[in-house]
Amino acid sequence: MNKGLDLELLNELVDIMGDDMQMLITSYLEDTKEKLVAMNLLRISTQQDDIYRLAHSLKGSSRNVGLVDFANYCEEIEKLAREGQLTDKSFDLSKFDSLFETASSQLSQLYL
Amino acid sequence: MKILIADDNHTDRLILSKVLENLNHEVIQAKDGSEAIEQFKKHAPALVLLDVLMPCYDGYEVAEIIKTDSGRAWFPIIFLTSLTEASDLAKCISAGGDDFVSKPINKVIIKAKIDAFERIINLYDTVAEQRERIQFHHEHLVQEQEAAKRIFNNIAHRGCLASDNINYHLSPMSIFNGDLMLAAELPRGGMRLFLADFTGHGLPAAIGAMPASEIFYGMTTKGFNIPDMMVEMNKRLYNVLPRGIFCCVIVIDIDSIDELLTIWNAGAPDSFLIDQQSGQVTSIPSSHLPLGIQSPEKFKVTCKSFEFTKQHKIIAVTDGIIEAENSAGNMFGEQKMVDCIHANLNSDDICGALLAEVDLFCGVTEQSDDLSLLEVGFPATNSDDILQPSKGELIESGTSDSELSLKLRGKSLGNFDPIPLFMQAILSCNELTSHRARIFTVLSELYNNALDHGVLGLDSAMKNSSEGFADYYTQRIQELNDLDVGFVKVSVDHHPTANGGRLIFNITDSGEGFDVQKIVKEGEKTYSGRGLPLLIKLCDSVDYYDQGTRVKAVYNWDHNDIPE
Repeated sequence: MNKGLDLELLNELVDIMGDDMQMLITSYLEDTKEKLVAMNLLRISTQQDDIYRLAHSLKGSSRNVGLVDFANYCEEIEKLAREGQLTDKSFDLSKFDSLFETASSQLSQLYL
Repeated sequence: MKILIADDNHTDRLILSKVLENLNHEVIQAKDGSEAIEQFKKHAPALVLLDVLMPCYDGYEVAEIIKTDSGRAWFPIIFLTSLTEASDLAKCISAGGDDFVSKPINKVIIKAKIDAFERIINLYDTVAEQRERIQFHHEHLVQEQEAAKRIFNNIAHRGCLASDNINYHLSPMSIFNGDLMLAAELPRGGMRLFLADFTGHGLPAAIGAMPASEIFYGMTTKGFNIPDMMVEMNKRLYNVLPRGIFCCVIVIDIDSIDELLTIWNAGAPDSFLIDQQSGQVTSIPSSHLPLGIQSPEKFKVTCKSFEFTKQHKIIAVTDGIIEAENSAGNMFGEQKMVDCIHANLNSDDICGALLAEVDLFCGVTEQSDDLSLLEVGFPATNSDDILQPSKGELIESGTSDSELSLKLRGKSLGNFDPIPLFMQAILSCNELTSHRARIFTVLSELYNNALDHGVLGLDSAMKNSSEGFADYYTQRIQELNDLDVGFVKVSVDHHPTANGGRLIFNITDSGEGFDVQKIVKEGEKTYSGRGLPLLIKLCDSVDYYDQGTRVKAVYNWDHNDIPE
């Protein structure tokens, strides 16, 4: 059930955020959705540097809210993009979406 | 603590703010580099947490700007990073960061780091505050020393040290090394010199300089002799100086009329009397404890006297020259000083030769700041010039119509010098200020003749040889100490006249008298009897009565007749 989510970290986060946990999750989800839309518009051929920054940012915030699998994939993309090694094959936008979908619906169930 | 967080990631900012707020810190947020710089200037936080990758100025650039703008020698910056490469982390530090925290945020690590930095910030603030305080005190001290130097220079001024017969070396800040050098003309011509070395350094060493120079100039002008002056100075310093601070002193009178040097050395290194013609160098060692140690009741001054003419020089030093060290830690020492004096006997500037020798010995180490050196030859001033009265105020005042007499008997003859007392009374008549030197000379010659030749029966012919000269004064001191009979009576009668006044001196002594005609005649041939012809020259009349046991001298003054 908790595949892709670090529940231990999330429990700690509840501890830190208290009543603001809901607000944090809402904010994260909106933010990430926007970033994923933006990611869809970037081109491998000319915008690897932008992909690197966006993947880095997504990785950071997602790891903070315990989306382990999603964050790990972001990191994979981040590394490749940083080196300029990203290809059509390795840049799988649908994998982003599906990993995020799975984790975010669990997250919503738990905290919203 | 006020903390600025700069991170473009909203989620990260939210979590981090919450963590810090839970730790009771005040949090300011910035969402990119330029906002971070703006917020930093606006809120002046104590600590900045910076994300590395941000739009508009990345973390490295922001760090550089903050470090420059903070106006502080040290400003703490912690980088927030999810980068894991060692080279990326190293760059955080080389860009001016003081530490880094890896994401995801861990509240335990954040707390530990923030706490550690808070301790460093407090320590830094304490150091900065203390540094500021030290700087303030230092500036204050320098200002105070400057002010003190000005005050000291006014009081402990150099007097007539610039005279042609004197070479000296004294550092401008000598007062704070405890060294003091003073010189004043004596009322009857000649001069008095004073070299003192207070123990210690800084202001405590300088404290004693004020009363010492005040007493020196005050009592010298009034005609007090060395013993009376030093008794007074010791009394004052004994009361004023803190425990453990005392004062080594050399005081020298050069009497240009009698060609006599009187010296007292209390705790200072040997002084050297040089006869440039014979090449003889006489050491004059300390004969007394320094000033400020002995209570006034126990304090007694016995001077030494030497013949001192145009062929003589006297050298006085403080221990700075003897203790001057070279880089090997060896001291210059007394022997080298004596050798150098012998090697430069006929130099015009023995003081300069000694300084050059010390510099040579010490090599690169600059030592002359702690040295005080005094070299004095025979005063070039013509005694006739000194004895000319100068222009004075023409106001009738004070003791212009008075009579003062005093009879000193037995022990009091040895214990009390009446000249300053009489001078003070006579000079209460302001018109006589310009006659001070002449009157002082007349009175002291008359009194000393009555005491030396009358009461003590000393033969002035003794002074015709150098050995006799020293014997004469040794004998005089001895006999004065032992005296319990005899008397000298001094009477000064001051009458106003049409244009001025007439001073009549009557001096009577208990001696056997003498052949007046014979002394006057000899005085012209030999140098020792010079006092009497000088008296005759200065006074309108000098007459001896009762086989030479009473002398009456008349000194007329006229305020229309004051030579230029």
